[in-house]
Amino acid sequence: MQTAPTKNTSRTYLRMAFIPLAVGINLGISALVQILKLPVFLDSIGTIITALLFGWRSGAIVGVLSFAISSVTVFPPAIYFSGTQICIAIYVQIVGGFGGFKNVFRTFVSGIGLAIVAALVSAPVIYFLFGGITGNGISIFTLYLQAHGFSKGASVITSGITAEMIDKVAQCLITLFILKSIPASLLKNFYSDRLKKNNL
Amino acid sequence: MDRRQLHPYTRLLLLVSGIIGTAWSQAPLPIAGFEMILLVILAVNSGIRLIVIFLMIVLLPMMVMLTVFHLFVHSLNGPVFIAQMLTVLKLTVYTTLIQIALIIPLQYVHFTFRKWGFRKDSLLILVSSYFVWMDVVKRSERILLARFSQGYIEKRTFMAKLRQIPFLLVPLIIGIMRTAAERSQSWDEKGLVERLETVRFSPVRGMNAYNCIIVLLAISWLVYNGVLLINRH
Repeated sequence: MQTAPTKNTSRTYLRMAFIPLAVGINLGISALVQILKLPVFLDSIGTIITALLFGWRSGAIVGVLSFAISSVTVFPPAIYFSGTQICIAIYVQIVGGFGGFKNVFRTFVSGIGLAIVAALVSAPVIYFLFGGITGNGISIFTLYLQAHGFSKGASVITSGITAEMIDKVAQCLITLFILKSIPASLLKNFYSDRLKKNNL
Repeated sequence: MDRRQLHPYTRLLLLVSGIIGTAWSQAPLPIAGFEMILLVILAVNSGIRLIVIFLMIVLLPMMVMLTVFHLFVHSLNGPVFIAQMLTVLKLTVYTTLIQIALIIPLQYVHFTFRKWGFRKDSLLILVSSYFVWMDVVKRSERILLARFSQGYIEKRTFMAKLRQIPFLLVPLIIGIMRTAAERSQSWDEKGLVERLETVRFSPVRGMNAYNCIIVLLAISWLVYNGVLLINRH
């Protein structure tokens, strides 16, 4: 016998239905970036949106799943940076709770903070697993810093923050633009405190 | 029933033993040999075509790039060079192991994740995520077609499509949110999560020669490197 759906049941199913689709957003955009060899990643927009809508756990699931699937499709080393996605989701939940996506200026500042968090969390993976060099464009800057007296650790962190700055700020601004563009009638289905605190 | 398919437990055992064994190993030649065997397993599982694509587009460029960068940093300084090559080889092995574990034929996705212990909503999310790629590609194509028919895209060239990315994102995400809302209602009414627990799925038989060989290989690799590690200390 089927019972009438409660509000909690509906939100659970909404989360379950949205998460795979948000994974698709991450995969689609990052695949395009990989193909075009753009100097950014743009691989966390789905994670950020999900964390704002459903919280950090759902955002983390989106991030980890999209990186796991990306590692078997377009970018094999992606899975090693799954921890970064979890931290991104946690950061977005915290910052979103304080209205960090309320306007362009606040989003810009939140993006800078996100860049620093992402770079710091990725640095140990790059340092210990990749020996400091991942083989992409950022590695050239890492080598440059090492050649000018920076230690390997400092080079990895500094080059990481520099690279992530443009990428994460762009992702936060794109997320704000997307959420502002969504009709209110559709967004009300995904209501959360974080959306209210960010005037979305 | 495909006898060449890896049982979910075999995949998991190979992944875990392979990663631990490789992490313990300090000799490049055995690691290179193990990688060769892994490539054969990948070819048996996924076909020669995928192996060639994987080698040419993923593995070889990754190895060449990392090698060149490490050479640039450390030149041909003997012990340091060998240490850096070990890093590159280990990364290659980890990447191949993950490919073997996660490249699952679509008809076995449900069976595999159930055997790995995922249930109810986590199982639903995982299975849906494996199929979502095709969904997103179709949506993107529909949006591009709509923009082309309305005259926003003059030519069907790659660069012209590329310039549509900013205009693609918003309708794509709006479409996704609408679909999520509709699906959640449908799934809720049908009790999909409970139904997943009882649905029949395509099983993979574990008790065949192929799986037994892989299990032996995984355990042997782990034990071999474990013994060497103990002897080193």
